[in-house]
Amino acid sequence: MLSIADTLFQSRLLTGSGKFASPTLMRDAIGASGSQLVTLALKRIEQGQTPDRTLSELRQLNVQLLPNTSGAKTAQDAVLAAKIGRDLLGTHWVKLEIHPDPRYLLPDPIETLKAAEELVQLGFVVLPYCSADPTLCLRLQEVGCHAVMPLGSPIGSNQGLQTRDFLRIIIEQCTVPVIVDAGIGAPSHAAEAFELGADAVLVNTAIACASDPIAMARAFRLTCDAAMLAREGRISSPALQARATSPLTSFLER
Amino acid sequence: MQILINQRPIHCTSHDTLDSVLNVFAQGSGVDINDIAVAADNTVIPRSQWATYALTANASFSVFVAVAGG
Repeated sequence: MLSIADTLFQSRLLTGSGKFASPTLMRDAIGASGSQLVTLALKRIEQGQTPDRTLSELRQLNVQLLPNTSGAKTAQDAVLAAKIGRDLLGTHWVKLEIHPDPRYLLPDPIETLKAAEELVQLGFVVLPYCSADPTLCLRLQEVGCHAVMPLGSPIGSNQGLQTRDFLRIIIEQCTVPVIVDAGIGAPSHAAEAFELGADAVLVNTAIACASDPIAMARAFRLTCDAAMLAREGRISSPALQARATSPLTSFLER
Repeated sequence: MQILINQRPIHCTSHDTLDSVLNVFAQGSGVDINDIAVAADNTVIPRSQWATYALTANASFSVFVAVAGG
């Protein structure tokens, strides 16, 4: 079971609610994924904007909501967003994300660390989206974050685990759960994250933008379950030379 | 007097509370009053304070909702 801040989750697949063609499709896909921790964003109400049904649809599922701080460009913005999320959703959990650069959406490590420290002191359970920087992840852990969420590749890019060598170090060093976030574009990428030793993955675009999001959600669910079973079974280490699987007796020779 | 909610001018009287003004605003925006959060001057005004929060002329509030996001 995945344990974050003393809360247990059977599913190791976190999902995002963005980019789905409709709120009902989002609900059905997330339901099919088996995810128990689901992110959503916060937004100022715009005049003439059609009301967003994400929240009412998600409330029909038995999932824990995880508001993010997307849109925040500084630590100060992020702290305010976290407080808004707490008041709106009644949760002190927050996915901290500060990415001022709209092109690559790469997280600002300095503002993220600053915000994380303040939010932890305010009593939040902080799950920071961060670059795959082992030193930063240790610092985030030190200030009291309950997990770290290093990126595999840029958000929504479907490039998979471009940061795999650094993820490996992060997984080796961190004692809090490591949730690989961003860039996971296929179930095989999620499997790779678990084979590296990740505790969980967060998937959004790969499910939401699939031709059949419900089928893809199931595929991720099964992959995550299979990868964890494989971990229990212990994957054999690779070898350079062949290791015979059949007896090498020369039975045809007389 | 006039206040601003998400940059939109709203007319109200001294008898109005933040609670009542937000109710009208939420209805007009098609959202449930229970599904919003409010901030003023970069500070969240907790739901528990809406009924007693004193409105002053030209006060500016930001109202937020949850939306889809990753």
